[in-house]
Amino acid sequence: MRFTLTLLRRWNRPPPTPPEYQIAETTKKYANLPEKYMEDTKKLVYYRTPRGINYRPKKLNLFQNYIGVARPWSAESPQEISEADGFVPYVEPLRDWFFFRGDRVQILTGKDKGKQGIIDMVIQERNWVIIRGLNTEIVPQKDDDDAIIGYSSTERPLLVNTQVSLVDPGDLLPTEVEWSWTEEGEKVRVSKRTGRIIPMSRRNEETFQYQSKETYAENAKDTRKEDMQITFAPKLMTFEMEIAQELGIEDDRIPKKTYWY
Amino acid sequence: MVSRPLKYFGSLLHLVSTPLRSFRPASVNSKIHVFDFHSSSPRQNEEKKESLPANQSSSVQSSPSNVTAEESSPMDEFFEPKENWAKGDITVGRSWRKDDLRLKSNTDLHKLWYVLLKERNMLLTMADIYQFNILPGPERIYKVEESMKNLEDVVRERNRAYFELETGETGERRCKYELTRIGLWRLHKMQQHTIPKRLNKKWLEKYPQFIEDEQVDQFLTLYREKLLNKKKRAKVGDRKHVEELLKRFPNVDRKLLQEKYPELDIEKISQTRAAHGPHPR
Repeated sequence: MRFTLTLLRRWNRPPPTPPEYQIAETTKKYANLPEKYMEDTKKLVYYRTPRGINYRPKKLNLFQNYIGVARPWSAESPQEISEADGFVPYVEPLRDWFFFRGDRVQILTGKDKGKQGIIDMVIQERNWVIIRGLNTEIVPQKDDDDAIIGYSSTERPLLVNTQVSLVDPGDLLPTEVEWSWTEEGEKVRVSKRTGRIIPMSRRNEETFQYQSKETYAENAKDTRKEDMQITFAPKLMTFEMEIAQELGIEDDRIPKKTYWY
Repeated sequence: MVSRPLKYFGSLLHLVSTPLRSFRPASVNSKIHVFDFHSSSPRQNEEKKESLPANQSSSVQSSPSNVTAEESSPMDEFFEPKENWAKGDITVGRSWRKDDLRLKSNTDLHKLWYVLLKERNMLLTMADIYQFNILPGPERIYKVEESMKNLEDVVRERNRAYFELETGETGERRCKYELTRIGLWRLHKMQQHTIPKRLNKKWLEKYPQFIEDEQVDQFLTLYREKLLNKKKRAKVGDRKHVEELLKRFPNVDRKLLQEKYPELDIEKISQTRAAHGPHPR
């Protein structure tokens, strides 16, 4: 027997994705989708060899470790990833995250310096925040013959750590913020300067599908609230034993002696 | 989401609703006539005709193409409900979490499992029909599979609690780490056999014992060297990443970096020239 690399390939599992390129918690909350779905759509595997001993595990996919303005489940994200062309963004590691949808922030740099706006989109993977109507870039829209049809202004993202700061609701001035707990045990953001609590906006509950839980239109196959009652009663039985008892299945056979190895 | 072309609804109607009639028993709807080639005789047919009322006798002779597509049958549950056919995107709620499933009794979980199984079956058939198009609501398959996995976990949890209380063991299939013939550790999932291990020649051939050998020693040294090189390369990659971070963000939290990369000395790296580069590109 010769020990070749092809023999050993099967034992080497693919390395886990580094935390810089994983999907962040704010994105997961906004998406309200299964994690595996988002990862699969982000990966966009073109081809994968079928499972079996006669196939070498191999796949053809897009460059995975890039997250931009487009959300990973959207139809635009594969295009954006292909345009990035293997560019690795360097993201500064942050200990805490303070910026959420609907917060009032002040811009510290750029052409809109000193202006205040409301956060429309949070991209935690890149430490980015998009503010509605501010920090815009005017882009000419072109025809197939490179003739300019018109101009569109799009909001560009801003770095959280240096270009933007949260606003104290008391005096409407930018402050540094920290996490702390109230006496009731709630986790809140508190401004370091005045000690005032910065409340969460209602827009933070917004998801990809609905704006708030009340406005969500129920589907015919969704579980109703009336069906979510507690029916569990502890019994000294396994799952299979209880089901067999209910269905009236009795098994008096004596099993043969077996060996586990 | 991407909208769906309309031509597929027509093809669905053609493919789905017409062949279903052959599966439907005659007792469900008397309008449908089932030909029994094996047992039919002219006498029996005559008797049947006589027993039927005068209104329906004509429809028995008619071909199955006269039946409208609006009739529902149990086979329709394999496919998407007809209300959803014209929709470009279908939104549903979230999947069942473990905390939700823990509230439910075993019988409820048993019923829910078959509901989910049917739904998954339906979605997979629809995905097969839409293999050249985008299925509306493609995340539904993931949601169903996630909730099925959660359900299985909850059932295992309950069974484990029972067995640990009664026998002191988990009651699950046991695993153990074994040395293979070439000296690598392998997770072996135990199996049930009718004969003991020493008599099972096939098993012994399949899983040979570890024997120290010249070839194995040579292989293991080379393999360990390969792993070590991999580790070294990863460390170099980490160091370069940290240098780039320090170059781009000079005010980065050094303590956090040290926690993330415990093998590296961040203070030493920050004093090097690579960390004090020019302005980022």
